[in-house]
Amino acid sequence: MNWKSWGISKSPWLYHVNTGSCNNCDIEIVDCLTPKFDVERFGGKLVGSPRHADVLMVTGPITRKSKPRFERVLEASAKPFIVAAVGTCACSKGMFHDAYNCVGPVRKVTETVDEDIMVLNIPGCPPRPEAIIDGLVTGLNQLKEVEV
Amino acid sequence: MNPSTFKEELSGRFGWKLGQSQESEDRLYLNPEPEIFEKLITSIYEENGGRLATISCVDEDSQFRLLYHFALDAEGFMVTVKLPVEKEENPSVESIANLIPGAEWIEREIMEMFGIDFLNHPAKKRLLKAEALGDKDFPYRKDFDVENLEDN
Amino acid sequence: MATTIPIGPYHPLQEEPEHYLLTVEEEEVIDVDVQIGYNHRGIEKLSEKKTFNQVPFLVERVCGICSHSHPYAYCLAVEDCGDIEVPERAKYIRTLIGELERIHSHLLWAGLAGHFIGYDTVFMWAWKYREDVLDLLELLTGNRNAYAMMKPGGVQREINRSDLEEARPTLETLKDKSEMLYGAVLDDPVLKARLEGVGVLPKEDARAFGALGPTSRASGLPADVRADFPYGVYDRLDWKVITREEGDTLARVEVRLLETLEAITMVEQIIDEMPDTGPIDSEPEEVPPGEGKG
Repeated sequence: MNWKSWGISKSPWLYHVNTGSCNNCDIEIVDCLTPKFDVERFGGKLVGSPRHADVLMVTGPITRKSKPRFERVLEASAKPFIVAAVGTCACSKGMFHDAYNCVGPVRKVTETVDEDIMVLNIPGCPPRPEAIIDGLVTGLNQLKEVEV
Repeated sequence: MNPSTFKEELSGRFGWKLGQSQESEDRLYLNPEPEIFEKLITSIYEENGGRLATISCVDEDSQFRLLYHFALDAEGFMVTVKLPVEKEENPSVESIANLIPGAEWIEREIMEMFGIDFLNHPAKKRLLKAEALGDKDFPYRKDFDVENLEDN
Repeated sequence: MATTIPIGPYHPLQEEPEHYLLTVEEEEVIDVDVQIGYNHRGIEKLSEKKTFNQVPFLVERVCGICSHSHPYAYCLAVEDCGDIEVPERAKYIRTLIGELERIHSHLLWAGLAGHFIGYDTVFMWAWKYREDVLDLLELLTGNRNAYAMMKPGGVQREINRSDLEEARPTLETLKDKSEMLYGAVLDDPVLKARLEGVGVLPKEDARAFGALGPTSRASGLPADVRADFPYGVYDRLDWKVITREEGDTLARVEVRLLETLEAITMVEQIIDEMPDTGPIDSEPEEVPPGEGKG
């Protein structure tokens, strides 16, 4: 691992992007900040701009209208960063796999922007806050083995 | 007041043009002639305190049908006014948004999703439809081709 | 001199993407242009291809916070169209889940309202007390947020009497904690200064724009679909419709907080009155084509 991957894994700053989800996953992400689950023990906090973010938490199957805006967020984010696809809709479109307005899960869209972006998949409908924290911590531990 | 007495009152005003109706304990369906449509809506909304719940549109293969749902909360029943619209090159109907401001957004959605034009609408702009879908693509119609859409 | 301020689609305050273009003169917002549709997944179009029993799962994902009301409306419409009878026990179970969802949704709203004006203590407390309600829902239905309990004709799964009895002490403590939280919020002079007189919706505008729910009740319109068009067991419970006259943000806060306390009382009544035996599903065979309302 190099100093960049060590830096991200120590205290990840999270930015939340909703590309069309029903809000279940979003309130479970916000639930992680509340006193019962408390992700700030790991140094995580929600920031207000993608330029400050280490981890982009993406929810929702990417709808046709959100796709160009999501690509701009990816271009605006400070490199290096990783993308966490939270929820079944973001991992694989889930129940909306044959919806006319949903264009592909998160991995399909990030690959068209840049092939080297790391995507973490956290499935569940919605994933419990414990599962989100577990997925995030596992992914960051894996990041330590990699040269970013 | 219950649905039967309300229908009697409207029949007294509009006569045969009120058309056929179906009643139940808490619901009244009306199929008026198109020429009294606006006066009927005004009567339900202004004189009887009706609240516009929503406007729904159904694609019956030979025509469209618009259903205007009004709730009379104080009396405890709902009135639905049905209006058929022919499926031609540019189907159109008179807008009620100048009378009831709450209908503005509902009519905008029906305009872009079904392709029915609402005449004299105050603000005909896109509301929901993605920019990638063209002005002639109407996703809610039954003959909209879902399989061959491009993933752009 | 008017300035335009664009807000969103992605903004730190918003959970969902929407775009507002505000036209502002000094401190007053004089016009707004809204763009929505980022969340449009085509659920109506998808439901055309599903069977009657598959659609409640799809419709639940219209919104996660109110994920019981949408399948409830769908099931009522199908039952109206096909003249399907719902057994008594199923009606009680549906109303119970609906009122528990109301409690968790109003507490969520109160927390987020505090968070948006910078009062993070209210946010942390409200969401901490909300966890008790979510644990209760998980005990009764199996999931915290998307319960999957509805089907046309009844409910999907049973609820045990022993689980219901476990709910009583939780509801007692929740009532005390809610009253404490709400007293703290409504007595606070800073919150009063920020919320009083802001965002007034007059009564006539509320009717013209078709406002519903706590927004219309805070503007003086006593429109509550549970009382005007009763469904479930609402006509057998003892509760009242809460209204306020001022129509500003403080009135909307008050209406929601008082409704939470009413909901806790309603849940206790349902636990007392619910029959312990009986079918939960009338298993309808076929639904004829037609129209129904829900």
